[in-house]
Amino acid sequence: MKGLILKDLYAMGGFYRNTFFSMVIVCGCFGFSLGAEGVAAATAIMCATMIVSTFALDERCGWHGFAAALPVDRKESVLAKYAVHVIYCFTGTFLGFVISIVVNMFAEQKLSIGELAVCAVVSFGISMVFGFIIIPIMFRFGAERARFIMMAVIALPTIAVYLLADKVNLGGIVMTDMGIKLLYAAVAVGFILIGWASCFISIKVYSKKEF
Amino acid sequence: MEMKYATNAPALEIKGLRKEYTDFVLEGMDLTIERGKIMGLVGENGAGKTTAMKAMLGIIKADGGSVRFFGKELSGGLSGNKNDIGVVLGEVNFYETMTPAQVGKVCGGIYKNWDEKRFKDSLGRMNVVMNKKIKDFSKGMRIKLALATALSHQAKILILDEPTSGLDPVAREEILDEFKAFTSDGEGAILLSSHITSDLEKIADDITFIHKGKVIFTKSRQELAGIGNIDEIMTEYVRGHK
Repeated sequence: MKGLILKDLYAMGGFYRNTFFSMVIVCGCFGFSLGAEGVAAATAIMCATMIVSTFALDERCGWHGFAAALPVDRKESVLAKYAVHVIYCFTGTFLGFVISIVVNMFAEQKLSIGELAVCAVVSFGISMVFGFIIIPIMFRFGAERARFIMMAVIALPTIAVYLLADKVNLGGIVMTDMGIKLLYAAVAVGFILIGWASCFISIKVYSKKEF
Repeated sequence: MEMKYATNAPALEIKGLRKEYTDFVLEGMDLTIERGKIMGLVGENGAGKTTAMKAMLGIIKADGGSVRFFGKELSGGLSGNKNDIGVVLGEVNFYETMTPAQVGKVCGGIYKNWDEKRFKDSLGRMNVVMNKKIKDFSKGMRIKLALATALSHQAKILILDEPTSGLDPVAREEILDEFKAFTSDGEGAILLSSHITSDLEKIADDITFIHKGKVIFTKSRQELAGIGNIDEIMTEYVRGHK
């Protein structure tokens, strides 16, 4: 697995600089309108999208066919992709946290470090879920076709969550402490279930693939 | 754990290998390569050479038949016999932003018996620079990198799909010498597909001719030399069976 993870990290070498500049542009142009929490989320998600590029590079150099002849199980190849995604999400979250602290210094309504840390954790979760959704699609359809499907797949749940949150606000529903704890527990269980289902589907899809 | 093989089993034994597509069928391929031998696989474009190689390596799922490397069926994982198979599929399959030094580190994390020193020595012998990006390499350099990778994990058999195409005569000679050295201990074996039949006439012990997914013949180089050159034999057969 170590070799597979290194392969993606090395192959993306030329793209880190571009991603970093994109981050600087996003944070520079929209930092104050997004706020510290927005910057944290944007940075984490930008890093998370790099997993899509690793699939594109794999396809361009015919990696998958070659990998099938290497002494690695297909399951291992799939799990390595998830490991790389965790690395990107973690890096993005850390960078986002640092940048959000800087942006927060100049903000009118300042957030506490604790609140920024919560933003970072939520950003990490969102970027991980992005991967949980997109990675099986990448394995199934390939990077190019999956880019378009990705838009729909990401947009629909986002709109649904936004509308739901709006309804809750309009309905004047007040969450009790117990309600909030239950919500956190449900989110954690949901996160684990989505992650497990994503890995399971990816392994099934990739095991049947021919190159 | 070291893979244990039957001492007298052939390096590669294929029986009735079959793969069916809507427009092409690889029909019950039989092929045996003894240890210390080089087998050339020839045939026109679309004859089924690459399909056969992919099926024997498990890159595509065969619809029937058996494939045994040194008497054992193909198995993945760290302790499986894929560690003993060196593969070149036309070109280097690492992304072009990587350098050979990085390829070495990646392979070190994949192959159980990766030999970094041998990898560096092979690249040095073939004049391939360690810290230059693959995108700046010529076609020949890329092939040499792929071959150095296949030769550096103590493989016992090499499966090579068109490894010398696009190379100049000097580079081809160097690579053919590497192949001869690989089999010189009487243990290593090579299956080599190529359109450059003059290369096969120089180094192959046996030649298998495949046409429209069927093995037409397997003959020793000496037998073929008595009939004519490989190109003429192939052309004559293909024209006669259109």
